[in-house]
Amino acid sequence: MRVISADNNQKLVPSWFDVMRRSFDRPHEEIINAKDLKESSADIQKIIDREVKFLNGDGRKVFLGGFAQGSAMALTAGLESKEKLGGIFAVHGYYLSLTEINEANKETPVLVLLGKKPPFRPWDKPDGFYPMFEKTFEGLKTIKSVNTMVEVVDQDVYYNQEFIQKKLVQFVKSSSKL
Amino acid sequence: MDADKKIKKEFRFQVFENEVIIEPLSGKHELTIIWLHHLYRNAADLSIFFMHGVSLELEVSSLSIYLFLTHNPFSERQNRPPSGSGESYLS
Repeated sequence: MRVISADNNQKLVPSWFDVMRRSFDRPHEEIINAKDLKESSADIQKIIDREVKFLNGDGRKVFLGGFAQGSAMALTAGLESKEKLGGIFAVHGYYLSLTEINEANKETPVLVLLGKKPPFRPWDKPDGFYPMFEKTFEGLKTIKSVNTMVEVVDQDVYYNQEFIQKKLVQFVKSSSKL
Repeated sequence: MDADKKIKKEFRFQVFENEVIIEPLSGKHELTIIWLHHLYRNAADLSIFFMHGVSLELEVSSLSIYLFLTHNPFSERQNRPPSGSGESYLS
């Protein structure tokens, strides 16, 4: 639980890292709290380790996913993991350039879903957040051998659970060759 | 009447202080999906996503959805036995 600086109140809320600004107009270390990000990434690595152990040492049976801030966190923790993972599934989120990609996950399948239709919440931008989010992936896509697919869909990915479920199932099945 | 009901899928659903674990009680494949919540939400809000619709097709052995990690959420499963050992980590 932490206070989100950008929200200008002292309310403690569930979060993976503090957000200082709700835009990407500055270097990412000025937008989010990098220390929080690294601490959460390290915590999630412990969870990954636990599950890999449970799965007899096969990290490719572990998938990491999330929504919005959770998807940014999944991308960082997954790509930084020393364990080769089955895949990373990120919905309605963004990529933080603070991520230090581990060699083990350079070729891990990553599917990012961004929705064109805004979820019509009072604070949303008229076009939704996807153009701003999409821009954050430009650097990641230029890294050779990173297996990242950014898919912009004509859906409201905030409320259309059925659509996201189908995409997740397809992604997991194709990535794990079930 | 209950005898006529066909179970679609059974889960073991556990809510820990910082984690929700949903484990299907059957399934031939063994996968773990770790799902990270979004800002302002908690794991319990998201659990239903994996318990209806097409998500039921996922042959996972374990699904962990995490709340905020300000405490140590790991202790409950630290001694979880390896898959296929026949033991339950609950025991």
